Amino acid sequence: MGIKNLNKLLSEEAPECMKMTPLKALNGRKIAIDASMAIYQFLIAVRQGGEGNVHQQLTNEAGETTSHIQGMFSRTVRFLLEGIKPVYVFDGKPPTLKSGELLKRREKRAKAEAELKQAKEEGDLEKENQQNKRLVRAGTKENDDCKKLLRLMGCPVVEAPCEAEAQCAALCKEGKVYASATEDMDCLTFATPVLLRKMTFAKEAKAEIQVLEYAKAVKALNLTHDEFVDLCIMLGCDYCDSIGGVGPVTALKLIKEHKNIENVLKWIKREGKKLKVPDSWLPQEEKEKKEESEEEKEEEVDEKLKEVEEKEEEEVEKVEEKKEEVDAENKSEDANTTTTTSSSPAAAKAKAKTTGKVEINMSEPVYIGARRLFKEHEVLQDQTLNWKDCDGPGLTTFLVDECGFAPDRVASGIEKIKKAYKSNSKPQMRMDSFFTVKKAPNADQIAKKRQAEKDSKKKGGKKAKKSGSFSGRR
Amino acid sequence: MFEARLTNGSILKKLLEALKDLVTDANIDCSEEGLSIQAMDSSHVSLCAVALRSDGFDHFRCDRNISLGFNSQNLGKILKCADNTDMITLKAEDSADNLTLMFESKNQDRISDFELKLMDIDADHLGIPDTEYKTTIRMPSNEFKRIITDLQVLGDTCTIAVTKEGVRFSVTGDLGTGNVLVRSTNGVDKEEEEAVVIDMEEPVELTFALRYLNFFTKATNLGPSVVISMSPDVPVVVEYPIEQIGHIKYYLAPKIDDADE
Repeated sequence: MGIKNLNKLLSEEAPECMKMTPLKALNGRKIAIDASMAIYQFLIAVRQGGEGNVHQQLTNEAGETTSHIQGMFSRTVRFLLEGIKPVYVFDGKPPTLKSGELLKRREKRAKAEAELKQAKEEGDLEKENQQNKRLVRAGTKENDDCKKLLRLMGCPVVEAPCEAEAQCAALCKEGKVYASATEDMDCLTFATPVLLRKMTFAKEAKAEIQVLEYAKAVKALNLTHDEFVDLCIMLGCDYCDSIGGVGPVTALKLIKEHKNIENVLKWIKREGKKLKVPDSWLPQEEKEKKEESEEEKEEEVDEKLKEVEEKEEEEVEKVEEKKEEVDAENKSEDANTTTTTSSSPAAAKAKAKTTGKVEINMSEPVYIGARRLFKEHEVLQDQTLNWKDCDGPGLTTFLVDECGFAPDRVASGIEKIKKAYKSNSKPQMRMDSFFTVKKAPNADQIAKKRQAEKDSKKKGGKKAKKSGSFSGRR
Repeated sequence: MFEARLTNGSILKKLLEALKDLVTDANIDCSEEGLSIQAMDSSHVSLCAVALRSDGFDHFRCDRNISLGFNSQNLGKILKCADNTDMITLKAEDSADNLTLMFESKNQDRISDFELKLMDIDADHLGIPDTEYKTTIRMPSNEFKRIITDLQVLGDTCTIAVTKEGVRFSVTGDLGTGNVLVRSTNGVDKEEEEAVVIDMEEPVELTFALRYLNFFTKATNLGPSVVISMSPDVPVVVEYPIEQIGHIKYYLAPKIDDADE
């Protein structure tokens, strides 16, 4: 998911755009959070059951999963206590171009299911837990639960018409929020000015957050936005295949040399390079119509999973019945196109103006469609974001009576939200809202040092790899 | 090559005491004009700016502008090894990874030197414009310290209001409320250092987190008086002049009623 190897490429070629900061440094900031990503993380990570057991998701008395509610509640309380104002952005309809990617994910899912069955038969607990996690999916119910919870907590919720990352980036570009928070690197391709990663607080004390700055990244790579988008497509995104045999370093080199994908393709043709250009990239070629994705909510599953899987936490899950439930739900959703997720953007559209409606023209090369998705994604603009006081009784009813949470824990959570809200009525301003950031006196020194380091690394690299590099003559 | 010698080494010791609780890492920026340090606390709510003029040193040489990145806890530990009466010399090569600190006792019978590993600090640097403030208060630094310490007993937020009457520091907390009114000592016979001078163009009232004001009072030992400058809706400046060599200034962003609510 996201952009393949972009993080690695940036850490090597543009280290200055990345920084680790303590959570504290975000005090007073408004942050757009990719809610779907967060929900997956919770569904996977918030589990109970110690070693030697099959880890179970948290459930209420009726057996409905509440892991995501628990996670969302405690993380949001934590944000508010730190003086951060979160806006949660939910996914809308996936773009048509993503259907290929979604299909792949579905296949992986089927595989995981098979492996789970096998693990169960073999009684391999560890494997069973692992596969269980791979099978997690967030349906409409999970999303609606979280929306309800967030509204009760007084946090604004934005329902994106399309991809949540694009909406986060748009909010950030408009200046409505300071940064977008998601693990998904393609948020950077959508040109979010600031991207925050690793906001999971797995380890309480050492909550360090990775900050990526778009402007610094393109500057360090010495690319324009158009070139950067093309680079991301060449690296491999969710919307189309990429050229076989081109890794991150080569992709960057080719884009720098040829400026865009069209020229790169021409060059490949002219030079007769043996690179595997996907059929879908060839212009005017009749491509097999990719089957329309019938499952709207089949989002990000396996990939998100994989990313989060290595992360933290004990716990397990139960699965089969739950899964069937979700599946049944998704089926009904498929039949009925007026579900909340798919209809809400339409409703919202009436209120706010939307931009960049992306139509997919199947006869053009697929990378052009991907490029358009990155540049003119359908997003909502002029959203009003209000942080209100939380609805204490409402939260108690929802969390204690419906979800079966311990009343005293909910009460202490509500107290914390109230406290945070109270101190936010006269919020602490930040220094940078008064004084402008300028170049540090040591900026040149550091830049020079970095360049020197980079050069010495490259030299070392070249020595190690005398021939066989892509630029070498055949 | 950078080299600076200060006979009154205790200034550096006190300076670090004044910095280390607020700022974890910072750069000493050295130039011909002198030394300066600018750094923010981890929440980016306050900023601390130190300036030491080159003419305030007994010996000062700086061939090229350099930045020496230090961890304030670590530099503080080393400076603790110097006596208050020691003469301190700072030394660094142009592209050095170390800062050498040499401590010489008054009658030259003990000379110690320490090397501190430096680090690259890539922090935001803020441009602070010269501003005219609507009110300026000059008062004894220990008096200010006492007020802040007292108010902290009651709450965590304090309002500083300057009117014709004087300066009122007020706090409201769960225990109750507290007010301290400081009047101008104009006309009363007092030493300059003990006087309270209020210069007011228009009344100003601002609210601040006491936690940070308390950090600022760690600089009390650097000078007998403190100068507080305020204008509506901008950060307060709490300046401690350091005799004959420079100053340490703290900026603190106010708490402001949220405009969108």
